Amino acid sequence: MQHLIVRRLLSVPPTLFLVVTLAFFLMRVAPGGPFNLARPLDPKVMENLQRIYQLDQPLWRQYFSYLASLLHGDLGPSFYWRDFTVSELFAKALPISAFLGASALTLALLVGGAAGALAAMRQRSLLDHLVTAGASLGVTVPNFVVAPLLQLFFGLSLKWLPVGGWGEGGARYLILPIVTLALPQIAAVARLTRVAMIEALNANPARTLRAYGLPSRVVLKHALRAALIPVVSYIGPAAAALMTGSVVVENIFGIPGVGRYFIDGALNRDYTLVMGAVIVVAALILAFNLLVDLAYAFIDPRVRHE
Amino acid sequence: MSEAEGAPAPWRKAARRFGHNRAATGGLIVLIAIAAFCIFGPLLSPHAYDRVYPDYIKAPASLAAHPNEEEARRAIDVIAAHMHASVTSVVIADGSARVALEAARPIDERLLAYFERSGLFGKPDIAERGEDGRTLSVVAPINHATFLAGVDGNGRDLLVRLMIGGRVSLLVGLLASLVALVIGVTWGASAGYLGGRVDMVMMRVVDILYALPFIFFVILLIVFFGRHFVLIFAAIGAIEWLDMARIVRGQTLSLKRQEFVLAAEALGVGAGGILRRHIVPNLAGPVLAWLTLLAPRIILLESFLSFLGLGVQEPMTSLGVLVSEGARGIEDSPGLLFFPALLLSALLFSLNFVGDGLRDAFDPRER
Repeated sequence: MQHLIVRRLLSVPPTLFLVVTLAFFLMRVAPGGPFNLARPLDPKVMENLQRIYQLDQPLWRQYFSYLASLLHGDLGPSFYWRDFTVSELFAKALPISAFLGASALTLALLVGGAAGALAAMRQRSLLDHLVTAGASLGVTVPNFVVAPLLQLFFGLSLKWLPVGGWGEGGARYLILPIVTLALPQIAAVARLTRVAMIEALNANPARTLRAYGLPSRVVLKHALRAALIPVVSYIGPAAAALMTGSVVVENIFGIPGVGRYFIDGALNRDYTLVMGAVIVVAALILAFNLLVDLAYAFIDPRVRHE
Repeated sequence: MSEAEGAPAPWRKAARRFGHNRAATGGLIVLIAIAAFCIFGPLLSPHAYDRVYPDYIKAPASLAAHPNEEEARRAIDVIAAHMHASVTSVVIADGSARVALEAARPIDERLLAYFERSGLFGKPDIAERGEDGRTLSVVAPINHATFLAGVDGNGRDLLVRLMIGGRVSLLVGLLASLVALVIGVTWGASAGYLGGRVDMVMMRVVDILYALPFIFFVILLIVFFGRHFVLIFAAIGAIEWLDMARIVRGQTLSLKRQEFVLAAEALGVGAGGILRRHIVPNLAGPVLAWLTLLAPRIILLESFLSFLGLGVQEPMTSLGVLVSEGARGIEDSPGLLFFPALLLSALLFSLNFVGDGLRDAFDPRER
């Protein structure tokens, strides 16, 4: 068990290093630069800017100086938002995105898990059909369709909730974005839980428990545990994606999260900002993969003793 | 399933199981209907997808023909103003408009060309001419047009744009899936079959690409290749192959321990030959099922890129573009969101059902 954790932890830094290297050179090979504007700058100004941001140095030296500052935890200044460093931008925006993502994920696990488990317990009932149909709908309807519909219904017709904006994190402003983020996840979790629960309830361990005459509450508890495994392996990558902000949802609801930095950064060739985004996402993905592996060991004793 | 007579037994069984799955066959029928609608629809439509009707901007969906009386009168007023004349009476009957015009100075009859130029009327006939040329009575045939799904914000027929958008979305799904298929199967099967250190390195590459933020990758590819129609699809496919490679590798690992592979090895068949002849054909089932589940994801991804303005460019369109345009003007013209969203959701829904059905058909244990 400890061996497993240590081995997984040791594999994180080299992967992160390769990701950083790949992203750095891919970004630099792409045509255009941060200061190539629609109206060309004065050559002298350009030269000065290049010198200040050290873009006039050979690429390999830029790469090593970037790695060096990275080791000190310095992500560098943003090329586009000239008054901010990348760390400052993320310090402000990441908590917002992470909070929304975590709330949506919790909601998805609670609602989706419950719906899926209930549907599995009453297979082929009306409830089961409703859950299956609702889950198919939730997986297929894109969130940029759901979001305006929610805005129209709850914001403009019923006037219960604000249509958009952040409102300094007021609860009323959070509901629609969280629901929009959560809906496809609820559907996915419900689907996975249902299938896994049906399989677990029909499998030998559950049959043996029933044969012992144990109450269905106990059987259910064991089946739920077995059904958790596929859900957990889905949740890992999904969590990383949710926490790093949904471009669409932040765009539609006007939320100052990190989602926009990916697109603005890449389109403006804001090298440091893009690198920062890449590092944050890669670190989160690796962290969640590690958590998923730990969760496996926690849920399934066979993994622990391997 | 008579068409599967000559096929090998597992395929025949899978086809029978698929046929018994009502949701899956229903999905397949809807899918074929949507494809036919999108492919052949534009040939039958009276409107071109980029033809602009400035008089009918945001007209709602209806079976009634345009222009209606009010629109015709409004258009006649505009034409009369161009001719420096005023309208004294308009009678609309039998698909033509009889218009009486009056002006302070003699009317230049060449200006009647404005009737045709508006697009709403045909060539006008002069019925009566005043002695001094200051009054004129003309009969102009009305060009009727119907917009079954309404007209978009730029005055284009939504129905034909839906078909064109559907074509683009289907093409995206198909092309990008093929790219993902070719790369993913080659990569995954090679890694799984060769095993050992090669496998480790190849899968490490997949892990690293996995850890890169997906959207960053897409945008970077667009930056490289420019916003070219086909290249965007290739870019999407080139990213989506990662899952495919993992699935194929897993399948290959279990396949390569089977007797027929051992037999081929014992007979001295090379690695390439075994992969081509024995491994890849046996992957067809799960790969096919997974492909139909990948296609909707790719269509969604294209929609997402179009939503951000990185996808297909005007006047071409895709379902994603139509939906995001509709979402912007949802308050005053809900039809512009409703129809594209309906078609997109129906397409994704049916693809999902077909994919689930195929997966169950090839792997009945998972039901």
